[in-house]
Amino acid sequence: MEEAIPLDQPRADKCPPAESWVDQYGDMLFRYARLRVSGGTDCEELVQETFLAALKGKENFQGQCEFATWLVGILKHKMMDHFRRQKRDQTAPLPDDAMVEGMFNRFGKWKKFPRRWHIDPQDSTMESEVLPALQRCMEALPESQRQAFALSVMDDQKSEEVCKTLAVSATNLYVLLHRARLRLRDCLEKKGIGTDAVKG
Amino acid sequence: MLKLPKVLNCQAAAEMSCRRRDGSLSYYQRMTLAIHLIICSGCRFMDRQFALLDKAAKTLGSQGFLGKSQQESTLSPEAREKLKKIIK
Repeated sequence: MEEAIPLDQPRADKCPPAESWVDQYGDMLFRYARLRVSGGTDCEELVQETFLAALKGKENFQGQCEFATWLVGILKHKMMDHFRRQKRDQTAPLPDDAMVEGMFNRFGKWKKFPRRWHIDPQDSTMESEVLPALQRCMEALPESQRQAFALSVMDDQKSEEVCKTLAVSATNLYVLLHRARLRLRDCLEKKGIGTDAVKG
Repeated sequence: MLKLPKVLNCQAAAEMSCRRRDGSLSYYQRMTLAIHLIICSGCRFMDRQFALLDKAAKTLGSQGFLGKSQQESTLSPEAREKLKKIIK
């Protein structure tokens, strides 16, 4: 699956010299990983693994895509391996998420009703306010919810694939996604998204 | 006798609203969710916010790493030096 990456660079048929990789692509790869994997150290290791694999396999790069796209492709594989290394028990019911449970009273009604958000998805506030806030809120999610949300929603992967990668059952994946959305919604609202006062 | 969809509470409506995005709902479930969204404005907002959330997440996933919105997320100087030593 190739993604279009609109980098302002000419399409090169040969890979750029390895000395320039870190400065040119290091931060981009780091950010890609940071959105999906928690722990800065893990992300730095993933970037390192990616560069090492690229170094080994650079003869295979024939300019079939942007070099950056090729690197992201390698990083994706490294990330999937990283997720698979974290062993989970597929079938065990997930522990309760007290924060999500706490959003509702014992009759299942909102304790604090959601407000209307005055946001037009086409609007510039989407990019200037919602995306940075969402990034911070995602970083605050519990690891398993964040991985589930990143792979299923952000990267639009099929749920069967995500279940396999994260080693969770389909039911647990639904629960993780549902909790992630409720937490993200709450977090964005607390940051003032949709009102005039946006907090950092 | 005709079985009428029962009224959901907000917590179950939130779960179903997500389930509709991630998997599929039966006709009966879609109906119970729709009825709840008619009578509950809070959940109606939530349902729209989930749509916005998913859209924003997709945008973040496809462009976020290009760096416009995330100035603070960069390799640490130490990691950068280490990488440069390894990759020559």
